[in-house]
Amino acid sequence: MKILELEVWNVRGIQHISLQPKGKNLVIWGRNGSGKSAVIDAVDFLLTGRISRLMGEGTGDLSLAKHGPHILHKPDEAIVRAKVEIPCVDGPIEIRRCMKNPSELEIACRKEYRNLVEFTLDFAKRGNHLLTRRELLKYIYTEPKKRAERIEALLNISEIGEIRSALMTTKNKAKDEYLASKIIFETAEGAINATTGKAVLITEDVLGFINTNRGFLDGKPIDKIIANQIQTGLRKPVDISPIDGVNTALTDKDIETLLKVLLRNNQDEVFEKDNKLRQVIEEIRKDPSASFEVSRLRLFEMGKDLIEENGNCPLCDTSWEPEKLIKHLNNKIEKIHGYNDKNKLMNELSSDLVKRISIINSSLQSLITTLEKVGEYKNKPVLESWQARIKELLSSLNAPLEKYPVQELDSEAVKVICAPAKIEDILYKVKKALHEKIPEATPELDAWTSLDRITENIKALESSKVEYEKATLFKKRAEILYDNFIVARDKILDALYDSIRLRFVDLYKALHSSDEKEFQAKLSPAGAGLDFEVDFYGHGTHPPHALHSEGHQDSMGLCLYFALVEELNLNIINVIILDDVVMSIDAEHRKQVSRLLATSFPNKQFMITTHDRYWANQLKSAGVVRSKQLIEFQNWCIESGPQTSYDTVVWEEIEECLEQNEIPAAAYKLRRGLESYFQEVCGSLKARIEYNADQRWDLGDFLPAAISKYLELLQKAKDSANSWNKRDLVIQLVDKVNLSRKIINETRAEEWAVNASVHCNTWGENCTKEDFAPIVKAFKDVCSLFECKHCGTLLELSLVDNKLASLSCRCGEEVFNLKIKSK
Amino acid sequence: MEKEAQNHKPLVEQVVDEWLYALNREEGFDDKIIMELKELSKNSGIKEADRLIEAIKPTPGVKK
Repeated sequence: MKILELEVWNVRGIQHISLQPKGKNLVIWGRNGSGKSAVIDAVDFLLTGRISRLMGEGTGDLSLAKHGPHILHKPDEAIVRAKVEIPCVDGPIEIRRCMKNPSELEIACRKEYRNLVEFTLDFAKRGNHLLTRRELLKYIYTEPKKRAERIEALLNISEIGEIRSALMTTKNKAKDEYLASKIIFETAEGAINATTGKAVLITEDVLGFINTNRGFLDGKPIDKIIANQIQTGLRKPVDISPIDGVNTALTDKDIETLLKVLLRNNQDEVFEKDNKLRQVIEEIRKDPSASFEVSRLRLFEMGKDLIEENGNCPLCDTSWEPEKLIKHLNNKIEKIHGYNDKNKLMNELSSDLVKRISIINSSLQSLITTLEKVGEYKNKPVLESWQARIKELLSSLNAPLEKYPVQELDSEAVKVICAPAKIEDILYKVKKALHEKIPEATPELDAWTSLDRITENIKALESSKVEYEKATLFKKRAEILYDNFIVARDKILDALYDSIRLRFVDLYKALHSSDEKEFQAKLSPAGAGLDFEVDFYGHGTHPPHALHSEGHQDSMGLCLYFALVEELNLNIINVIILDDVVMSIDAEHRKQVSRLLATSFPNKQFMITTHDRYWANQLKSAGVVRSKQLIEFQNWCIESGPQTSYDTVVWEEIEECLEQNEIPAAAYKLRRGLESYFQEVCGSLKARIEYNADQRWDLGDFLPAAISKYLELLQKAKDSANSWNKRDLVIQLVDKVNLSRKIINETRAEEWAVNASVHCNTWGENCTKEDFAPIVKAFKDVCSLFECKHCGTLLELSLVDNKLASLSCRCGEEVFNLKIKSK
Repeated sequence: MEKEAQNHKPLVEQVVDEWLYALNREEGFDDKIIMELKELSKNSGIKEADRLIEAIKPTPGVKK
């Protein structure tokens, strides 16, 4: 889609303006505050129903309804209308939007095109066509996460980020559930071990414990552990304990288990395991990228199988030396396997510690419950405080990489948690107190209550096992869901980012080929962010704002935006608006930007604003914009908005003035146009102008300098043709020089007619159309000497190593060699 | 032009298609789960953790 006509009523600083871009590039230049950006805002509003400048960070209380319309007008008077051209649609389409109903776009088109037009305008609504300097810096001067958000928003892939985030939440919830169920399961295992007095849960040991106790009660041995069969076929003894399910044999066993934990050799083992665990955790934590790489293992393995025979990358077509890409991927895979080995060791060590500590937790839990039942509260708080610390440690051991307090606690402190000071005395006091309150149990009663407890333990284990297995499956699924999404995302986006990166590098090199021929860049997703690094003169890659100048950063932002917008707009929206985006780029590189715009984007329609007249002229010299689409905004005031004038020789307007016999106006337009035109010619031919301390030059300076340089270069071209023995060319050049001199002489006779005050002196007022028309023609002819008849661009002098090389136009139709053949 | 845009599927759809295709080959992901995820991907359900959890969480008593 391109804009053919644009009409704006009462938007921002404009009361009324009508422009005719005709689907071509448009450049608006003028001082700050001349109303240029209001045109940009109007186009932005027309296409999207919003004004980007009034939105986003730092815009506070600004609103479209209050600040979109001209200050003297209401929203219903703020209207933008345009005629646009849409491929595959016959004739222009008229669209119109009013600030009273910003969401409503009026479209006037034939019924059969309605869908296509609406589809195109919906596409335009995304607002990817506008780049301001403020936006431009967001690509460069920002942290990876914000850059990713900005680029994702531009690529309309923020949804991918939202899905990733939902999957991450799912994965985290699944992990939390898994860890909670794991603790319950391990505690249930620990409770069985506490009851049986074993360190590790082995079925035969549990069965042995059950059958031994069944033997005391005349029961037959059982060969399977089934909770509701443990106490079947037994003689139940008379319970002499005043509290159901409590006897000293069991509490003694709990205390005995805890005392065993306190033994030095047990503590030394805890110390040793904990030491090893914290070492491996520290190693893994040192390289956080490793865990991210693990999620891409499958991608790397798949990628290895897909590498083309010539060794090139199948995703981005990048050339690699034979075997180098395979080696690169193998290194990555090896690194992941190394990471996995460490991970396995970490899990083994933490699991071992969990088993040991779970027994403490279970025994403490039984003891605390018994103390509650018998009403013995004296030492209960000490045991509860011990259990709380044990539980905390258990929780961190269940997610060691994320939670284990490697820095906060050393192994000695962990040892103290497992075996607090003076706890042995407390345990003996508890034992004594319980023996005083509970009568000694008979061996039968001891056996019965032991079976009671193991039945409860096994029931708890069975139910926790079901939950644990479900949580394990849930966690596994959530991980697979997330990991596969990351692999899919990276596969698609890596290829996309790679194509953007390659285009970005090409565009940037086109701008900075003189100083950064070997420039390279990296653009890759990293977690939720997007890493963007650029080469700095062969000294490695760095963030774009780290070492490059502001001007280079602006170039990068511009090139990255162009590379992105090509992916985005798919030739559906061809309008690209650049609002004062080259402020920090120097004149020489602006020239390169102009060339880039002219040559690399043949199907785009650029709408460019700038406060820099020289850059506006450069855009014209490079052929980005023609005279009719180069507009100066000036003398802005609230009531009338900007005055527009075409900042070059607009022959049609001069002709119109002549037709209406408005000779002073025609003379004014001619002089003003010529002044601008010959300033540009001087730049293009590198003509020398006498230095002026007040930095002000006029037509009297530019015109003779341009003519003299032009004739000098034609003479050089003739000398060159002679040296190469090109007789025909020499003859042509002699003719050209003679004709040029003749044309130039015509204007010399008329130069007085375009002096600075001609439009207001009496001659101007008394002069007729017949008097002035030959003067206009003479200058029109002289202007034609400096430009190509084919492409309309100015002839430009090229130097190589500071020596004259050629005089040529942009399309190559007119080329004069200036090099002399060496003898 | 419309065809060009249609051929150029939105990136989010490309990623989701690739993802579902990969899940199809994973153990523990039967057709029912894949179908549920496909349904969620047709609307904003795919962006809601609660709906994702509902789709993949083993239900008590039901072997899913």
